[in-house]
Amino acid sequence: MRIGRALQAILLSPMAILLLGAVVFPAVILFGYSLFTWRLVEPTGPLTLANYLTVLGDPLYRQLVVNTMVIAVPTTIGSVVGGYMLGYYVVFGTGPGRRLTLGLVVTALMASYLVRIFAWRTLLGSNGVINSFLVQVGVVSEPLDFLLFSPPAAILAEVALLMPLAGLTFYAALAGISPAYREASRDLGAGRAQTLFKVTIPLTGASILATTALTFFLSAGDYITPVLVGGTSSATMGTVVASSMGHAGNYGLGAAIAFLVLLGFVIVYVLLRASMRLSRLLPERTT
Amino acid sequence: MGRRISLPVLGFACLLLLVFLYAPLAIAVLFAFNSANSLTWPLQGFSLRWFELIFRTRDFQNALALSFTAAVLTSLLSTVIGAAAALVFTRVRNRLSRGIEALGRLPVMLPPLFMGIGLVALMKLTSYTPSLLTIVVGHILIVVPFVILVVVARLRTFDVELELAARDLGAGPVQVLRRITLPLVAPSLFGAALLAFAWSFDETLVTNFTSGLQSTVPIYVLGRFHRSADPGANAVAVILLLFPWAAFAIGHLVLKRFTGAGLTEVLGRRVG
Repeated sequence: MRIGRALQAILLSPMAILLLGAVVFPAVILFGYSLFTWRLVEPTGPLTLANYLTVLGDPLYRQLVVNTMVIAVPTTIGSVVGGYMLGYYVVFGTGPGRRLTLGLVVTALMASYLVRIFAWRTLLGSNGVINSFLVQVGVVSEPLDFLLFSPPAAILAEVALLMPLAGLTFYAALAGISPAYREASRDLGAGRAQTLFKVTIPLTGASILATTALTFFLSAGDYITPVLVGGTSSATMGTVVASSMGHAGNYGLGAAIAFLVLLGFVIVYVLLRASMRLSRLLPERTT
Repeated sequence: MGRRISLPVLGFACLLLLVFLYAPLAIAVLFAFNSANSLTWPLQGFSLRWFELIFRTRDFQNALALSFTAAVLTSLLSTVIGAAAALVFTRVRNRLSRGIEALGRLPVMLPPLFMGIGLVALMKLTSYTPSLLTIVVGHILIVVPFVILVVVARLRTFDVELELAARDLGAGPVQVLRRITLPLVAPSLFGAALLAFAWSFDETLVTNFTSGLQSTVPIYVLGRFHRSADPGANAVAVILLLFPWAAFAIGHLVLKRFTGAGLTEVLGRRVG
């Protein structure tokens, strides 16, 4: 049905106002704020690039980038590989477990974000389930403190957070490919692995690219998991942005870091897409 | 979907993955009903004392009320905003419509942290103190893209001929929307509203920036159990799990019953 111009404007304006007022305008303000030095939660002095230069020059931030990558890269790989396995099984597998697996993946996705993080503390804490079990059984005499508050704990928690999202996305992507391609591949004599790498994965390449990027962004931008289970050694770009914009009150620095992280995201996305194209996992756009 | 294949090894691997996803949740829920004071293994005995304790805590009562209010408001507003936009996205393919659609995806393609600090900057510039309004605006931002996915999916599948027939019979555009389109998308609006409720109730990463001195349930958990977790935290955890799950399940089942496709299919399309 054709919708007249006046009706269009009425229907679209709430969404447009929301996006302009709560996304676009705030981004402009943040950019403005990033060009000032901040003192006592107020912008002071002339326009300056000092915040950006601090982040680019200070070795502290290089360490933070490393910390972020140490968590985000394994998290992304774990979530994407695990998610693909789940999606593949649900779409192509046999047996009654398929529907149940799909249901459980969705339920896990809808499970509370915070609970999924806190649960790892109950499990891994020095008085937690695993440690008290190990001590009682006599495997160790002292609780293993390194289980919690370490980068591996943050990785485990974030993989568990993000894998359901990846799984569901891959389910939708895999269910959407025409079975004719996979059947033709098998009929022409390709083995299962060959069909997977030459047909199935490239056909879902766009979804793999988007999901890998999103998982990486969400992991690198998570500022709660590294604090709650990663411990003090796991300060990341996300936690620094959050604290600068929170109790530290240095909005200029926080905004500058955020924009540099955003730039980093764009670079990661472009590199990822190029490498997937080169390795023929992502077909060139055909339309 | 073509011929299925027996995948015993992959099936077993998926079983392990599901155990990995659910083991921590199961442990947290078990300890919420455990009578012991500490979170050590083995479990002592069944008890509801932690729920009693939590429900008698003033701060928790306030947080629960605020979460509920915010989730209801978010649900209603985001459904109206998202459904109206979805109607244009599916019927009008001009530059403005496409532009807003693309921009509307941004909040779920980026970490919620970015939306949170944007709202912090907005509040700073306007000297606006955090309130229920700021919490709800943050939630709507995160939730509206999902509402749009749900409603667009329905608007694309139902018989467009029905609308055209109504037009031919002399109905005006507003009349068609009210008498034909709205009843046909009603199940999707219901599903979208419940999905929005579920997501809002649990929203943490943006709310942390927009709630100020008030606390929703997730923010209460963050503040109260930041340093040390006690079994009370697990009782709150059970509540944080149940509300969104229940809302999602009802929305999914109703949508599936009336349209044949539930919320599951929609969530998978968030990315692509």
